Amino acid sequence: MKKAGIILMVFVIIFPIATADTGQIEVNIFQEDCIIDFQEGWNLFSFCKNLNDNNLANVLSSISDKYRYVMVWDETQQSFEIYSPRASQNPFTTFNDNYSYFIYMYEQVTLDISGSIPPTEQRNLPEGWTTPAYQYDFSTAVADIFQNTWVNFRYIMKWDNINQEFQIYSKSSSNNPFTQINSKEGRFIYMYDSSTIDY
Amino acid sequence: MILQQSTIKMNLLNKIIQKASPLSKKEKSQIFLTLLLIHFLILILIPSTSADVYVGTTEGYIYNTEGQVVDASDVTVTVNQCIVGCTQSIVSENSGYYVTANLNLPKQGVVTVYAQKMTALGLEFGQANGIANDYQAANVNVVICLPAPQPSLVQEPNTHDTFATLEWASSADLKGYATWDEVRVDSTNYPKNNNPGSKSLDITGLSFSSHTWRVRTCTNFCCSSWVTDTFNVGNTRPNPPTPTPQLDTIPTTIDFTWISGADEDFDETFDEFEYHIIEDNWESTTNAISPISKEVFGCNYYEWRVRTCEKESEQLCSSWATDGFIACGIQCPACTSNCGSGGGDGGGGTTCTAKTKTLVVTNQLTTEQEEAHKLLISFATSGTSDNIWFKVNSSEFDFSDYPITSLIDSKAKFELIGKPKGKVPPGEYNFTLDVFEGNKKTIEEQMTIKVKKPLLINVKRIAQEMPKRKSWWIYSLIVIIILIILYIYLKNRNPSMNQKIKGKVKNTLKKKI
Repeated sequence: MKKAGIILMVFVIIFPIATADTGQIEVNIFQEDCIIDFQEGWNLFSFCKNLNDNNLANVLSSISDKYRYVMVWDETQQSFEIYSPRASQNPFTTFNDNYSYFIYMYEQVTLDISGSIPPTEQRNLPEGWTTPAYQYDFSTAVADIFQNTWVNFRYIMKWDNINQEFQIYSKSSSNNPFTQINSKEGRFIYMYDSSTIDY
Repeated sequence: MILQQSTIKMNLLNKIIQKASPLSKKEKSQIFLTLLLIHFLILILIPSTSADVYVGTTEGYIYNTEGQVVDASDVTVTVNQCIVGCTQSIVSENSGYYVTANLNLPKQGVVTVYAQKMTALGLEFGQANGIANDYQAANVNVVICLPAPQPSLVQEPNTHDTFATLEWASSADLKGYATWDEVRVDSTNYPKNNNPGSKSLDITGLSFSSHTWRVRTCTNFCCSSWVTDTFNVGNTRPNPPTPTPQLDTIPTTIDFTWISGADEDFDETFDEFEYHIIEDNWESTTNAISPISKEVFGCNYYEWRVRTCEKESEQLCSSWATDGFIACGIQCPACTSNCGSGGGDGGGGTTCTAKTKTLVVTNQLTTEQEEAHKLLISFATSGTSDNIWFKVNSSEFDFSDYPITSLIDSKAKFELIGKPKGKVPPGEYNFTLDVFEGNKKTIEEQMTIKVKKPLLINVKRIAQEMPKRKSWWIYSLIVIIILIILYIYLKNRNPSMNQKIKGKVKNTLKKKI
């Protein structure tokens, strides 16, 4: 299920020659591009590939004049660090594709990410808020992701690009605004205690 | 975020200015200030398109006073001491649970959660505070409560009394909970008053001021809002007494009479009486009762006054009611034509209306250098007098005699101005003021002048001499100027004159040698 979801499988079936007893099936596997749509304003995203080049300026070079800030959540300090292309010094200059990032856009753009297909991964979630990336191109139910760590799980928040605010999923709520996490979406997860999740 | 944007813009401004090298330092600073102003105007006028990202959250459950969870209640979460991103509103779920995000809730920040729901009995509401943990998450449960009905107050009228009976009625709680009333008069809380019904509370020792009292009905869970009433405890001063004017008189025993001032609040009052010779200390009588007898003597101006005061309350007093008169010792002159023969049962005798004369002299006690000395004279007579003279006898001062040919209303008031006769060293000098009617001296008043600084020259004389001295100097100056002009003129007209003069001088010297 996990592996199957990573790639889009296109089966090109060459039907066996009707007269022969044996046939030939040729399977071609195409990887879907990792293209992220950004809206004007703040966007919380995660990469859908493992980056070949982690340099932030290089990754964003195609949209260099269209973004204003990039923010990453510091799990230790429980606060944001901010990158500004205009600043002479920035707290970070590389992307870690295991984390989600906030980016502030002047306008709606798309960003084509080049990289490799991520393998099955685990994420270590410390107590408090963390922002793990979800690099796959299929959706997964929140309940499935946290099924082994439900006791420690408290919240997961996604960013609403339109209203420019978080949507919060609480395990205590019966009326959550979402139930799945999707490809390219960034997220904030609150754990009561340190836990590990498997994608 | 906005702060960081501002800092970046400021750095940019600095760079722009640095490039403009031909400009002077002053010009640079002016440009900088202008750009700074524009920068702040832009920040104020153009709304920022950037949204703020806040990760603060709050969750909890809403309960009613019966311990049941409350669904569909309106929940408002407010971060205390917060400027932006401070409030979120949500509706509780069927489980009574609520959760909200996007709060600008710092670690250990305080959050207030208010919840309300309109039920069949009325609006139930409540609030609770919570503190965020180190991950900016707070957990706050709220119990909403239906308050008992507000009590109804009997409006307390304004009064002069320092005690009052406050009355109100309270109702039973709609959910049947036990109730009590809380009463507060100004800032003082009074014991709780159990059960509904009509109630009263006696308050004593009220001050003379405005008072506010309030009542509310409470259950174990919540209270109704306060019902408030304000009344005034007032007190007015007594009215001033009405003194009977005392006529000028000769030294005698006088009965001072007056009617006490009324107190509109009907407070018990007493009167205070004071009298004195003018400029002396007052002699006081408290609890004075009209009339009061006093001996007056000499030749003095007397003042007396009375006022009415409260015995209790605020012990306020009215203003003073004042009267004045002159009592002066003058021998009763021989009977005038007013004198007549008495007759009747009392036997024979002579009734006489004496002419009473009073003289009050306000003496200027000290005299400075180059000052005239003034005597302020007030003179009154009960009869008709013409051809009155006032004469001052002094070795040091020269006062002109002051004649009065006719009196207006039998009174006269004027000044006598004395000039020093010569050099008067500091000291005390006696003089006498005499009053003559016709050729007869009727009053003789001994007085003293204190001279503080030596008096050298008559005031008026100085004033007259000064202009003469000035004109002499001006005249001399004009003559000198004319002589100088003449000399210059002659010198220019005959240039060889100097040489001639020099030659003459040389010849003279040679001859002498």
